[in-house]
Amino acid sequence: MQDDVTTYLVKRLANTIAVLLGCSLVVFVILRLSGNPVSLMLSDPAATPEDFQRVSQALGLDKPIPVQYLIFLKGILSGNFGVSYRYGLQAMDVCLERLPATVELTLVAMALVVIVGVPLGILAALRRGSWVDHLISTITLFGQSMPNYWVGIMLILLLSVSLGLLPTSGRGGLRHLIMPAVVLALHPISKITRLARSEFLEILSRDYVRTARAKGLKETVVVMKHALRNASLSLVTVIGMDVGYLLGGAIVTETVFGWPGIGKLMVDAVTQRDFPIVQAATFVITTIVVLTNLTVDLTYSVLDPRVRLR
Amino acid sequence: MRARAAIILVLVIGLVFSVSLSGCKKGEAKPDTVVVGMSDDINSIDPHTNTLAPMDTSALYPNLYDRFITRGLDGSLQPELVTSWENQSPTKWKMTLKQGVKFHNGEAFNAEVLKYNIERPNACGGLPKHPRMLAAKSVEIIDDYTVIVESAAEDPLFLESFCQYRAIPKAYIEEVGEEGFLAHPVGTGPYKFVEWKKGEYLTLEANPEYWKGAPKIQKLILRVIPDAATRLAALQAGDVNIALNLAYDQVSTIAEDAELRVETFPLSRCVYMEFFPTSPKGTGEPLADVRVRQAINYAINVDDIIKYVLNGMGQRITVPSPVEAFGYNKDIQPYPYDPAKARELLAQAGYSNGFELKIDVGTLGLASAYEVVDTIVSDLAKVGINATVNRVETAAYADLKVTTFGIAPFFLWQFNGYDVSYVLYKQIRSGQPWFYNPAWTAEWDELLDSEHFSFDQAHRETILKEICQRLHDEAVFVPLFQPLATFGVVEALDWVPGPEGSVGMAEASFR
Repeated sequence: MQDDVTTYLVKRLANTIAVLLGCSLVVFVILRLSGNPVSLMLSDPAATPEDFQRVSQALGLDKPIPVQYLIFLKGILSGNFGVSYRYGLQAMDVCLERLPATVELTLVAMALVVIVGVPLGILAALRRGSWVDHLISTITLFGQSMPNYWVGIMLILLLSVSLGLLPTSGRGGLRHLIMPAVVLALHPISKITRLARSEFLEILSRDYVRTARAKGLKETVVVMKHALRNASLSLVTVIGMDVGYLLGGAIVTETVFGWPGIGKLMVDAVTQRDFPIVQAATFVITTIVVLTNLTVDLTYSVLDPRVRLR
Repeated sequence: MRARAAIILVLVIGLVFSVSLSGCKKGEAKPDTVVVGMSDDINSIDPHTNTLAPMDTSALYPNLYDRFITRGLDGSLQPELVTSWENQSPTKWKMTLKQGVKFHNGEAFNAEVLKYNIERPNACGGLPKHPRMLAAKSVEIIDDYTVIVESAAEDPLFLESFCQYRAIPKAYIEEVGEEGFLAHPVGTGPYKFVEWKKGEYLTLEANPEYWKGAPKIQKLILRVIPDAATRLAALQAGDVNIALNLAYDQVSTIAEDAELRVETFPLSRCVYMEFFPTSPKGTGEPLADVRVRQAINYAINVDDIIKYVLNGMGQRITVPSPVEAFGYNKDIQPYPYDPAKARELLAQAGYSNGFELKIDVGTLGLASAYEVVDTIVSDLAKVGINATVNRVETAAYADLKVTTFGIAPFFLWQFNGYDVSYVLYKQIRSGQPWFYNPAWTAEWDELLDSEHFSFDQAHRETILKEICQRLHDEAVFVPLFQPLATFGVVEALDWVPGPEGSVGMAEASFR
């Protein structure tokens, strides 16, 4: 058993490296095909064609793309992802500095998803057809339809400007986390609630549930121990996917709430053609997504003994 | 069961209400602290680079660093760390430095420091220096407070470029290295660096030994609030005292609020359209005819654009140069809005059925660039010109401008300078990198050369005014407006925008 797990982890590690290299290559090439960032840097009347040449050379952008990539790879081996064109600092340092903020927001949002979304879904399934079920369905419908940006601004106007209860933006303590986490969690909660509801409806009609009930087990035990465990596979999958997505993609929420996350850093870097930051951020986000998937896969084998790691 | 749920519901609602009633308007600002809401983070701590400059470094640099030569509110050059300057030859400028100025670490500002600033080949991290700073080539030290600065070329406009320089310390950087400087910068300015959390905020504290006198505001927090709606909300909620880069429609909201006010400043940037009839992209031939170009000028209702699209936040121009620039001809009247006249001119030129026109537009920092162009397109349609717009993302547009000229690019420079010739020379004189002059003849080159390389300011002014008149008569461009920088400020804060629309706090105080 131990050997199985070790082999599996080694295989996954090799896989991870391949994914990282593949992603970095694609991003690397696309960035350079999008044009020369030096044009943006030197969009000033004082700049001359000589300046253009000089700056391109200084940044290594005058070499052919394959050569640039090899230089980049060589740099990575010593931990050097390049100097940010914008900040003049090591690109990876800048990315890693922004990571805790993103992780914090994502974890809190996902905690909300699990704590609020799953029980709501279970409740809707257990009370199927009742007013509770309809109310929950309506709430999830609104939750999935309302755009993040609009909800965010509305909350700020209500809770910060009108009522003065919460700060408008920025990162700080718990008070700063509430609104962005809620906004970020809105879509995933709606999704998980619906998924949990449909999973439970399906499971609750299964034979083994009827058996459990026939055995006289308390309803709580039936639901929490047996049904939940069976539903957890698909719930964990979706939650895992959401975590990966949120860690890199919470850009709208980060923008509205001025949250200093890595998503906004990356989008800004793309707009400003700050290649080193985009490349370093790609690495970071890819690693996180891959690790999250790995965790989800490992969790399967814990949740369901029938699953074999291959 | 139902009763229990109902009771819980009532209790929850009651709790929310009591909490909300007890909450008062919270803000981070105290009477000795000013919080500024910026639309983007600082680019670079090193003031010599900043090639990817958005407008918001205007909040950091004037507080942390001083310039050698600065600008007045009217755009004229003013002494700062350099108290006087004298042009000795076409490439040499003798400068006298201010005595008794210290950096935040105690290091003295003197000729050695100035020499270091100018002669360092790159900015921190090996990044290129801003092109304008390369106008100064080397420095010869006469004594501790006298230098001779040599320019890279014979350039009467040298000071336009040179005034971008801000002083950074020599001994300090030699001691802590460039990384140390980037981690904790030091300048001669009214505020000292405290901490920078990238993407969040940057904190500064007052420098009591500032050579112009200690500032009244003790603490400055520059916060990053990228979303315009959130930034306004922060101003209304009291989380910030100044909000930068307001959207044009937000100006009205603030004007209606008794506790807030709007401050504006005409930026040294110009929005205009250019013409390139021989563009390889084709269909530019109609623009070679001066009547067609004039017709386009008559057809566009610029005053309405400023009034309705920009909500009044613009200043009309008759040539692509700031009104405050040296050589700007204030006697020229802009083309009035006259679609009938436009049609007449088009018919005379043989285009009574109109023609197709391709316009390229990037935003390059103007909030309503697309809306302005859309309005222009509809104005042109009314006289029969069928314009199609190619919206290009900012960085891609910069690339475009460098590599392939479009037929009618809609343009906006980052900084036009306060001398008409500074940018314009490169656009209307043949052989220059940004050459777009459909009315060009060899005479233009003679005229332009005679002023661009002359050190006789009176002569230059006469020629520049004549060039402005010609640009207008030949409708070389469609000059539109200078955008105004818009700031939302709390009434309690006594502050006005500084030179070039900067957010310097040295003179500010709470009423």
